[in-house]
Amino acid sequence: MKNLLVAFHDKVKSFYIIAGFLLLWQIIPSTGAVNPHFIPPLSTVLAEALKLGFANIIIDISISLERVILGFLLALVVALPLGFMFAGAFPRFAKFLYPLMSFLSQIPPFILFPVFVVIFGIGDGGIYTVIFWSAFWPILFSTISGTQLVDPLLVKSARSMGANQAQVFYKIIIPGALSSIMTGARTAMTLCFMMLIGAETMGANSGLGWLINQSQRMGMIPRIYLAVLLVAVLGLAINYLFEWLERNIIVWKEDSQEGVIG
Amino acid sequence: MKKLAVRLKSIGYGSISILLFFALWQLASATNLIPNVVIPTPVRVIGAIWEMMASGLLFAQTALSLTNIGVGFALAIVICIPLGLVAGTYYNKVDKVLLPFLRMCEKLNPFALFPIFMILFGIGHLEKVMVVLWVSQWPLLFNTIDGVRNTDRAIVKSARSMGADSRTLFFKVIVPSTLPNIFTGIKLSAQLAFFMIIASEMVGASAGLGWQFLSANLAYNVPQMFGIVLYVTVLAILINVLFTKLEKHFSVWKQSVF
Repeated sequence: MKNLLVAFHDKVKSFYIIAGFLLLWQIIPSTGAVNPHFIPPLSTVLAEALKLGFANIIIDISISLERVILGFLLALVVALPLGFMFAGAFPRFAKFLYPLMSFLSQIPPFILFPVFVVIFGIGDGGIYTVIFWSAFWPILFSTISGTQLVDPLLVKSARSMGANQAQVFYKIIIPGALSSIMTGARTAMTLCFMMLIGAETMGANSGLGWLINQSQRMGMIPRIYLAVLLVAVLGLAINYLFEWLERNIIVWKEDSQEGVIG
Repeated sequence: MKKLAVRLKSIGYGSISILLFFALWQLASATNLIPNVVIPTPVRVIGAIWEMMASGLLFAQTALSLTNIGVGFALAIVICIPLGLVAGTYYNKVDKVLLPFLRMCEKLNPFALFPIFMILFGIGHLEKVMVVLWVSQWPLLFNTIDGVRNTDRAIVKSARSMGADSRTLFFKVIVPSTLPNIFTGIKLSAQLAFFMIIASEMVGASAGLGWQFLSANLAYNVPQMFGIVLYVTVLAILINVLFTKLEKHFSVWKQSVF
């Protein structure tokens, strides 16, 4: 019995604080210690979900998801081949372009959003472009560096065993670069998702970011909190998905964890 | 002298691609290959920047934004670095209980939190400082913790065997060994803070670079918009270069992996 409890405690340790936080969120505004108009208790926020209607929530979530997934996949499809080409086939061209790419990639995507709106008009065009732009650079750079870091010895041994160009690419370079690429993809996804909400807040008429903005403008404060909660949960889900992908695709990577004292 | 010439040559060679880009841009826009109204020529853009600089507007707004960043950033450093050092030292105790929650907070979308910050703190300086504080905390904290965890065990053991007590161990072994990571965290935080302050000013403020950009947007003053984009990018790059140099300065003894 005791062993069971200890094992259970071990597993849910991480959730104590989250549970505590949610509890505090419910209790403190209810007792009036904080003005419940400005910080509504958790129950009000959740009740707002029923008022808004699950259908609307699901629609907004799926619109946001669709935008971020499409933008991300587009960036993946363009940046991966480009990265491989730059690193493998045209290294000197890549080196020549590097200052320009570095300059362009450091333009804060958020400040580009109104520019994209000016260019592509109001509506989804600007949003997709911002998401594409934010995801493109991390994936490109991590693909280039990942490919360059593949151990040349491995390539040479493969060649000496008679592998042709395609085999070297598929069996040596891709697995070797995969680790960097996945890290880059994860960074890209985080950036993308951040920019998604930002872009939707500024210039969209659907989706989670728009929900936040609209609730703010209409002064429906519990709805703001609800939308933020939804965004948080969605973001966490996407993040865990990517970490899970990274762990299961890259099965040969090892990791060590230890504390210094205690 | 020769070294300077070599450096200038490499900078010159590196700028070719950027200059080429601007040249092509100028050509495409001037000949209206790309609609002139939508994407103005670089010459007009730089003209707009010059105008803003001459009227002192640019410097005033920049100073405002940078002050907000400065205060928030300084607060974040003062709070998070000691916290990170302690948390990293007693890592195993904190690990599963505190850290997952903090990591969740880190991943929380800052844009989504803007409205909440605005509810709690208004849209004045306090809110900006709070936004910067929140956003800069996480890289600082986690990098410091990682740095402490990566302290070379052999060094700790030799220090112990030479009779170091906990205090000496902390201040003379752990802290210096963590410095490179701390400065990496500072660099990441600075970039994030700059990015967020511009965004936050665009969403709700009455002054600062982001607000200037928003008003140019509303007035459809496209050259000024592009001008601010260019200016902000150059600032971001400067911050990046500055903090990278700082980071490298403190990482002298760390062997680079690549």
